[in-house]
Amino acid sequence: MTIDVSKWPFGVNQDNQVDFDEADKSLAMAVKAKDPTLKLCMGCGTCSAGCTAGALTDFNIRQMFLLLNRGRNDEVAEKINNCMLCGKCILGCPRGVNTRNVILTIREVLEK
Amino acid sequence: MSEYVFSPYVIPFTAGLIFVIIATFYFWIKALKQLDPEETRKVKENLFSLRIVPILFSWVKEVFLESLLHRKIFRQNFLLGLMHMLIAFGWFIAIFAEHIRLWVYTLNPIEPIYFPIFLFDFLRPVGAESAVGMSPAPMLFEMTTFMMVFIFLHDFFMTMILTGKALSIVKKYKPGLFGMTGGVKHNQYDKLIVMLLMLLFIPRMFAVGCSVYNYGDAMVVVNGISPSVYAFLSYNFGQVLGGLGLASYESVFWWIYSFCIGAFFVALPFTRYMHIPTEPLFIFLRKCGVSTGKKYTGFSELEVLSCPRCGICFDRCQLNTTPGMDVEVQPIYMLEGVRDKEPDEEKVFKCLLCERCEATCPVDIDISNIRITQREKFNENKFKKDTNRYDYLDDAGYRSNGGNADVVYFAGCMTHRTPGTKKAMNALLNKAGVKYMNLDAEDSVCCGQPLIVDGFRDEAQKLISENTKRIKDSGAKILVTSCPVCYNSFRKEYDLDGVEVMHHTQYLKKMVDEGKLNVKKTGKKVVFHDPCELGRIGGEYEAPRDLLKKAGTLIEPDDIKDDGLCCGGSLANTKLTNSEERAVAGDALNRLLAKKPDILITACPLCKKTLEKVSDNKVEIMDISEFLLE
Repeated sequence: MTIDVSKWPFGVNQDNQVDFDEADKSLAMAVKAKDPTLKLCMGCGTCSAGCTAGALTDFNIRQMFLLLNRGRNDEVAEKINNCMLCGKCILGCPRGVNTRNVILTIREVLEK
Repeated sequence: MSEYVFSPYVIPFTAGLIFVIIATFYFWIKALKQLDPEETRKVKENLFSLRIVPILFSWVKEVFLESLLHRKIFRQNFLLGLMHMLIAFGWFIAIFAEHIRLWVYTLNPIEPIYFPIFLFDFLRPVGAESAVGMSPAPMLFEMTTFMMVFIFLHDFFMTMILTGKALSIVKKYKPGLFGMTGGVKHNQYDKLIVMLLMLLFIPRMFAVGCSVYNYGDAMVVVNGISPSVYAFLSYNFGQVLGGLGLASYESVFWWIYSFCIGAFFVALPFTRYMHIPTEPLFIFLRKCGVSTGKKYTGFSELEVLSCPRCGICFDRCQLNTTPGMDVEVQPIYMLEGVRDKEPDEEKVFKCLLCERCEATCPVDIDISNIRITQREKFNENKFKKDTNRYDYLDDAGYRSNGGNADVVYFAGCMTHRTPGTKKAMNALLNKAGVKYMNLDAEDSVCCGQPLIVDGFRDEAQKLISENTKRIKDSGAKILVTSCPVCYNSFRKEYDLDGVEVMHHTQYLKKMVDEGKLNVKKTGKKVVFHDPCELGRIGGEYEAPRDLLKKAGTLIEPDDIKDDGLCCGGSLANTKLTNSEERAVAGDALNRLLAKKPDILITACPLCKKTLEKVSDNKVEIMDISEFLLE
């Protein structure tokens, strides 16, 4: 019997490889310069667990930050607008990341 | 009278007055032209119908009570109100009284505009003909009882103004007496015009004093009252000046006075005192039913010009009053930037929109709405508008319940983060036997308010239409929400066709009143924290209090209702740092707990969570529904 992973309540990522020498980290640097609280993120995923948009799409803030750090900016740009800015993430964050502002900053920096 | 009395010193005053009148009309017409067509229609509708009578009546009433007597400032602080009243009302009534004196004398309502201001020089008692540099000779009057009364009134009103000025000096050094902190920083033009206003009554007193001294024996005793009594200020001050040998400089003082007042008028349109000529029009338009809503229009422009930068908002703002915080984003600064067409991004965005400022603004400016429109303007330049960003909602696969619920319960995103509230509400609704459904138990969609207050109203429309569809589909007539943010969103942004929007405090009160829910009295001392979104913005203060009085012993902290404190967790803010938010929350919590309650009750999941974060388990924090369930 084949297992259909798309029915699982969580996503399974494709294998992938990040080359930090070639990755474009300019976006991540610009966002962190504008909102340094992003540096506090430890990737626990509390934000994504309750995310309103995340329940409806494959939007995932934790993944968004990971993609950003790895220079996969196209994927960030594609998904970032799914966020509803509702603020559930910020209530859960144990590290005090100003998640809503980070999302807006990413959008703003992407525009430039 | 064919020839008007004239003296060259009236020129600076007259030029200044003409300038300020032209400037006023320029600003008025500019603002009126920028009115939204809808607003213009409202004004025209009212202007050309019988409704104009009550509107005019209430307009006069409000201009008199607020612009002259400063009733709202009196409510803030007696001394502060007294100072404003003495200066504004004193000045107005002094000018008015001098006009009456002139009109009654000449029986001619059209006199040169400079005339009443320099009346003491131009209108002299019989026997005091010699005036300096005046052509033709001054007009003369018999010293009758009428004239005596008006000279007395002039001195009386001048005393009022000077007392007001003296109070304003006291205020500068002892702002605490006036209920202020005195930390407002005004720009150089504002400082200049305050100096001019301060100065211009001093040369006036010198000039009037000299005039009265130079009248000499013409200041006769009337009805047995000597001039030192009926002209208690100008006569006695004139005697002092005469004694010092200054009386011959009378025309010099008139020149200085005229220059000061002319400079005051020229500076006025560039400073905060522009609120004086714009406020009457602003109040009139508001009486016609215009207000700043979703768009920045000519009316908003008038509101911005009407801000007197009195600083009351500054002393109310928790970003200023919280110990250790010094964030200068208060309306007084924000509106100044908007007025000068260069709004500052930090000042526009770094705000909790708690509306503490708006609740006490003596001019009633729609501060929050103006701030949101400014945010929208910034966002237009910053972000590519993407109104299709939530099109994924079409595929969200919402399943209809068949439309057979009486009540639909929308917990709200924030409530999902404080599940205790949600559980308690479900339990209470079951207990009351209500036929209800949870609208956002799964696949919830945000109400859109966080986007709206952050300046993305266009992009929020998709969320609004999706939620509207779901609410209407449920068939319910009452929408209950546990989150005051959603409550305001549903009330103000949604078109729900007769579905009644209620916050859960209101609905629970209704259930209790109808006898469907029983509340047991516990002996616990509770304090209720007014959430900004429910209280000041939503206008609901009493429902939670009624419930708590039935269920416990309600004690009220110092800051309640309109003075309620913001917890600092507002979704309207994205720019405040985490530590700043915690500072606001910590300060609010300390002030709420001053009377040592057993339980701190709130009705907003966001407040609950934010206060819990800083409470260190000092006190139990509960939502009102959890408390009632207990």
